[in-house]
Amino acid sequence: MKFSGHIFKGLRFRLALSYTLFFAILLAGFGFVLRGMLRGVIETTVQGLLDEEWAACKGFLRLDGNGKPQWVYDPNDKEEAAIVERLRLIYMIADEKGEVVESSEVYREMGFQSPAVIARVLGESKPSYAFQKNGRDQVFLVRQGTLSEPGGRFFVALGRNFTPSLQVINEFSNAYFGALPLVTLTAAFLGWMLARRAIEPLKEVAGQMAQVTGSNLSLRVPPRGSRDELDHMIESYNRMVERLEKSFQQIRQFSTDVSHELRTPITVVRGQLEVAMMTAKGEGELREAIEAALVDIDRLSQLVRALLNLAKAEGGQLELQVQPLDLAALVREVVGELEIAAVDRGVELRMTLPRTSIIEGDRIQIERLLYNLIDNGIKYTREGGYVEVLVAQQIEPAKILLEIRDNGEGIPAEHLPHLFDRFYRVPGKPAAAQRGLGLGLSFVAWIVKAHQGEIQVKSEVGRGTAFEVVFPLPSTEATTPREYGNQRETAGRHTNP
Amino acid sequence: MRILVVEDEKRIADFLGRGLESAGYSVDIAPDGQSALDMVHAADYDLITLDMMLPDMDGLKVLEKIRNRKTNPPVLILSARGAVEDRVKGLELGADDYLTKPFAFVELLARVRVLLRRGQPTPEKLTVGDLSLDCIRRKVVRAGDNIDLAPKEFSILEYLMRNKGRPLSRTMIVEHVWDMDYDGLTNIVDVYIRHLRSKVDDQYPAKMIHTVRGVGYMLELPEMRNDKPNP
Repeated sequence: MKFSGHIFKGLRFRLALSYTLFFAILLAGFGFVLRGMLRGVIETTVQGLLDEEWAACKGFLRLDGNGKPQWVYDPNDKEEAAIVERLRLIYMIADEKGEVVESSEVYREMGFQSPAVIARVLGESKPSYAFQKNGRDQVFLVRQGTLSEPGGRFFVALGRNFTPSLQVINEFSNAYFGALPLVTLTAAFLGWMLARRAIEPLKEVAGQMAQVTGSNLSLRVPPRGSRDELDHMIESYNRMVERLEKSFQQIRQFSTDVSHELRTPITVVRGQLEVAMMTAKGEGELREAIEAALVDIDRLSQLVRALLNLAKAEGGQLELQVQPLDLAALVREVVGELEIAAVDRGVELRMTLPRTSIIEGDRIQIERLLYNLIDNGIKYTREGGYVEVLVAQQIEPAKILLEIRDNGEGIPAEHLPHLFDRFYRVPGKPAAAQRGLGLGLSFVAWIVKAHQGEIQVKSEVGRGTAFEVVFPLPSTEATTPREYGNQRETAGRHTNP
Repeated sequence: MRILVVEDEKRIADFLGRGLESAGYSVDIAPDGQSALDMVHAADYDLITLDMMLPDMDGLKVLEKIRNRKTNPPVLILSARGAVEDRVKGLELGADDYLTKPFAFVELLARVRVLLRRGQPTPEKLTVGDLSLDCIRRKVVRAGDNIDLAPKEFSILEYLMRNKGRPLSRTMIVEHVWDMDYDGLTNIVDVYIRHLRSKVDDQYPAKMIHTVRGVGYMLELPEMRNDKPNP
């Protein structure tokens, strides 16, 4: 499984492209804002100039009753003369009826304000500004205001040519937006390079990850030490591979164990029958061999059935029929059935039970759990010993406790962690003749897990073994059948001391 | 001939003992690695069958310790682990043969017979009745006629003649002649035996290559057929 290069090219391309697009849009927007600000500043400046001219106007202009203007100034004062000259260049005066009383040449070219506008301006206390065009594409900024004279109120408009200011703004725009494609291109190139730098380590890590295959799951991707998102990903990946490796090992171990467990009885059956055919004298010996073979075949089919059940259970295919269940009553029942086996081995079965103890569980599975644990106790206890089953309800936190303990031989500490492993048997004991399938405790562990419980084992050599199972108290809801298999990861765990 | 069976599974040890005894061998049984080593130390065995999974130590460990001793009986590994690596490892450590459980007892018996013959001088020229085979010049003559054999046919005939009177299983022939694991393809042996018979046996009145039911093939002079095979 190898990642082809073009996926990364694609990612790199997309990174660079989105970066470039974003950059270009940002730059263009910034240009527009700048342009607007520039225009605003210039307009305000020109408005300020017009305000100054207006003030000057008030000083120099006198209007008679008809609105005829009279410029009052000292013609010998060159400065004053120049100002008035300047003022008279672009101006217009109208009376309250809206009729133009006086105007300059330039103003005539661009046309007068309509009587409606004049009336509106006269009605306002503040001056207003307007843009006006003449026929030669020149733009003027005009200040419209009211001048109150003894002869009446007059509309006075003063203008300034705004065209050079507009040119400045346009020149700025042209320069800015003209350079934009080049800048964007540079940004695109930089983005492309940056994207490569960002993706290069990713590519490298992907290459290393690709080397971890089913046959070398022990391989890990070394973290880069940068403590960044990539390192975080590598760590997650390594943890995932570790889990995979573990389950691979378990599966491998399991198939080795299964093949061993199946091969041995098959060898026995086959060998016994063959040797009997070669050596048996008379029907009796043949019959004996066949009977022995049948016992082994029985055991084989038991093993196969148990394996299938366990595989089904752990694969999540076994549906529990969960219902309220009296654990105390079930214990009494199972102990009653195992009594004969116990008496046969000279082992006493004891019970310490409350009258009832309701848990929520699958009757068949809980029964199987009790059978396995009690039968185990009987097997590992010497004659004269006892196996005791205790059920108790704990208040805080609310739980049901089930304990099965014996005063048998006990289990050496080194075997305890493996006790729930499939096919794990404490070596040597008991005698091979009554050896179990080695699957009982695995199944018990699964049953406890499926019921959201926990199991612990405590043992001391020579003093006995105790299995402690904790079941949660039944909740009010959830009395319908549920599938527990897929909750294995989160549901209870067994802890081995 | 004395055989030590190292096997912890009692019922397997039982039938191995009975079967081998009925074939004329005397058998001792060791249920674990330590007692096996003790017994090898105390007595001389002509052959040891060794289980790989013993309660106290790994079969390979036992093999190593046996190989460190002066007397060096052939060792036949009987293992429930069938993995190829295990087999290679066992043979590398000096086991002489390897059988995977479950096995046919006749197969085991055939291998035991061949293993017990080992160590005897191997003549360059083999003769059975009027059939003779020259290992150096690779020439086969029957009743004065030169017989042309393909290399594999020659190898099979040589293997049969070296073990005359002992049945050889198809698997043994495949392992010996093809020198590899031909599991499941043992039909190839029947094809070669047919060719071999057409060249060596068909034109002559006395047939030497016999089919042994349930095992494989054996080369023998017809008049020896009724004798018990000599262990």
